[in-house]
Amino acid sequence: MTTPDQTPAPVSVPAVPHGVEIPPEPPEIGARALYIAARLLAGATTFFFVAFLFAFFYLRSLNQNGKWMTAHVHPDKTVGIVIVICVVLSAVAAYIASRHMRREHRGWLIPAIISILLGLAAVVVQAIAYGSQGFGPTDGAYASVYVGWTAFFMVAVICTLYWLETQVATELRARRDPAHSKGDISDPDQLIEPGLAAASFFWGYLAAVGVVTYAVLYLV
Amino acid sequence: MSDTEAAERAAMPTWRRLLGFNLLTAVILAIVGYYFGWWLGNQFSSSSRDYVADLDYNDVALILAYLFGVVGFLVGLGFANYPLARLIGRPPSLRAKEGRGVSRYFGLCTDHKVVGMQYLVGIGIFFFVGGVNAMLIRLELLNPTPTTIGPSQYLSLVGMHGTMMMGMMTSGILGPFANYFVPLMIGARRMAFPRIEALTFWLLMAAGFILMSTIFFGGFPTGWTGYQPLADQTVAGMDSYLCFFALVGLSMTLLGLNMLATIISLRAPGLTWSRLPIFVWAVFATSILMVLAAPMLIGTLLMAMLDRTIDTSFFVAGAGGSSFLYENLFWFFGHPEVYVLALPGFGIVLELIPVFTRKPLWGYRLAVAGMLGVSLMSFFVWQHHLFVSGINAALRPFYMLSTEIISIPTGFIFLCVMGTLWRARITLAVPMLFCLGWAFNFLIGGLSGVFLSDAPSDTDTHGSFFVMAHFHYTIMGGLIFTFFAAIYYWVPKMTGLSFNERLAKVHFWVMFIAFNSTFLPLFVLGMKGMPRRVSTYADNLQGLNVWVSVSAFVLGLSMLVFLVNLVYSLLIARNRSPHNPWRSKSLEWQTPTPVPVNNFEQIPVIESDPYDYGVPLAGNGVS
Repeated sequence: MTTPDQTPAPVSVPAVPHGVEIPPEPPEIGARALYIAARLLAGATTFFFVAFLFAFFYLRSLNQNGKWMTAHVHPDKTVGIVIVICVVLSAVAAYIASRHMRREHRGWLIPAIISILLGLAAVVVQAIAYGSQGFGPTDGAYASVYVGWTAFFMVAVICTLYWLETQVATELRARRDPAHSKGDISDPDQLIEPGLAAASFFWGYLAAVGVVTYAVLYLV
Repeated sequence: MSDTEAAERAAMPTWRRLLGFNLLTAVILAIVGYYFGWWLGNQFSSSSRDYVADLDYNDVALILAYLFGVVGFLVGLGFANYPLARLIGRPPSLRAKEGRGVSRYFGLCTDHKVVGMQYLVGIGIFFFVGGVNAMLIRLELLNPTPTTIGPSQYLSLVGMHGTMMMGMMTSGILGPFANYFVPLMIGARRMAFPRIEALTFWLLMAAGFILMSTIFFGGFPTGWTGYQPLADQTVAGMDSYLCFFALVGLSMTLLGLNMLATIISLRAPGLTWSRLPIFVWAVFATSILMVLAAPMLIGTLLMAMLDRTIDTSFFVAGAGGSSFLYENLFWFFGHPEVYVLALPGFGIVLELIPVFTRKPLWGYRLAVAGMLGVSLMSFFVWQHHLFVSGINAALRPFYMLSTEIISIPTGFIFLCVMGTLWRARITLAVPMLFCLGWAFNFLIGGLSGVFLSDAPSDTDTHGSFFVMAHFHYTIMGGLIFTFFAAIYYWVPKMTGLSFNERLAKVHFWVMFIAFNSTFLPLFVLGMKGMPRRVSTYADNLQGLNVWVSVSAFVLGLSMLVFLVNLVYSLLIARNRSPHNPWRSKSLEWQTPTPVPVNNFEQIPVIESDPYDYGVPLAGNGVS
């Protein structure tokens, strides 16, 4: 094998011999990764929804064959406002839960559960709206953007609610039966707080997306 | 899995070992999921059926079949276990199924080194399939009129080749080499999110099989770009394309996110940003593009799926949509995608050249600025793909200028390569040969790109073989040459075995000469007006086409040389590689081979940068 011939000779880093147990990882490392991941996820999600925002303004400005918004397509503003209120209040509740958790206040579970219920309410109201609004995905460009944008927003909401739920479930379990350090994280229950902070950050961000979504779809 | 558990498992009868979450279960559940989705979808009618009333399918059924097939596949591998455990409050954990033995390569494993190897083999297989497609394309182009392959099959073949290469190779370097080496290079024991890391690989494999299944549904005639309105109107094979690329987009987003989180949060003490290995910087810049551009692709393809299934009209002009919307959205992803392919190659070249010149990397900060500059600017150039698609003429100068300006940060990288090579004592080992091959190829690719960024000359060359020559010079000449450089450089670390050097050199020279002999004449064919994606061409172009086809077959032969070397060196001869055959100073080479599951007993402390070659009294910078 042709080998570069000059020194310096490398010195080996001590590595783990097979069979040697590595002590469990401190939770701070996972906490840092969660903090960063939540922000990166917000960046990725922004670009996902920008595709729909771009589609909205692009198709609206083109108004091909006059079919941007046909005569019978009138989204119910009341429904839109109810969804936005549910989402925003849910995000506020998640933020309060996160703050309480940071101050080691055991009462954070109640606002967290309220947050999940309000988020679910938003999803239910949106589902009802699809059935009662009097227009469907085939009714022109606006209707297409409306259905696509709100449907995928709701998918994002459900995924975020799942994230919040895992923190609540972990806390409930931890109160009954604290996790032991048998796993690969030294004190895994210590990750509930950064997990909740990350989830509530992302939920707050998604609520902001929701406000933009419904403002554009209902008011522009 | 502990050693005791592994021993217990090995003692089980074979049938017992086959039960549980593994690849066999995954395949079975994928088939079950596929037919469930198919059945479910057929409970709904799709008016898209009108387009293809003579075929026994509807788009809803096929897309649901793919969706449930992928879900079944992932459930079978065990990816649902952890999310369900978290749902009921189980504490978080990091690792799953990390142990020893060959079986860990065939299922969910969170060891980043196993995932790296899985990527290398998985992507290699799909690269081979894409390469065979290319050979068939060139076989057809031996004659100016259709002979062996019909015109519509030819279109599908071109589409399969392009989509396979552009889709699967997005993770061509990040998948195998970044997953394997970034944690080692930054002194970490793992990736930030090991399960997500494993998920990105298996999503990509599922996507690959979905793309190949397009042949059962009539293929797709749009090429890799999936342009509307053709994509909305064509047969069910288009659904395979849409599902494939959406899954690739998801895999890319998660891969990029995981890489960024790892590089930002898991660096060893002392590994400041200014000491980060340049390959890690390239991965960082690429990951930014993946995280921001790929979600746009996912959104776009979901719109296209909605158009084909529930008859929305995002891209249907007659119903208020616009096919130009698709073009804009697609290329907003598509141009950064080009740099997703190119940037990791830059990183490999910049990482390897100091090792083989025994010189510090010239202009480290300039190279970092160049890569980040390319990454940022790639979001501002997409409309140059639409110069001849009826965009507002007033926009052309801006996009022309922005595209030409992006050659400046790209030039930084080239300058750093040249600066490092300047007056160096170069060791012409095989990885270095591929790096030098990259320099030659990418120069031609880059210079020809300037013609395509220029609106007047692009008007002439757009849609011709000139474009094809250009992007093969940048992507195959840029990415694939560096991919092989990385294989020859790092596989001895990954396997502990070395390649046969003579065969490797034969591989390089045959590949380099055949590559240029294949693609250089395509510039001429393009200038003479030969269009892409059409199997019929003017008789006077046959001579050049025959030359190109024969060269392409030799290029294919060079890959066989590589395969022979791979099988011979790694499976038959099994020559042990020296511990650090290149005498590299970077951290990954300081660990033993094979690298233990947890990489480091103690997290190393970094005391200097990794490119102090030739600097008096410089050690390897690690304590």
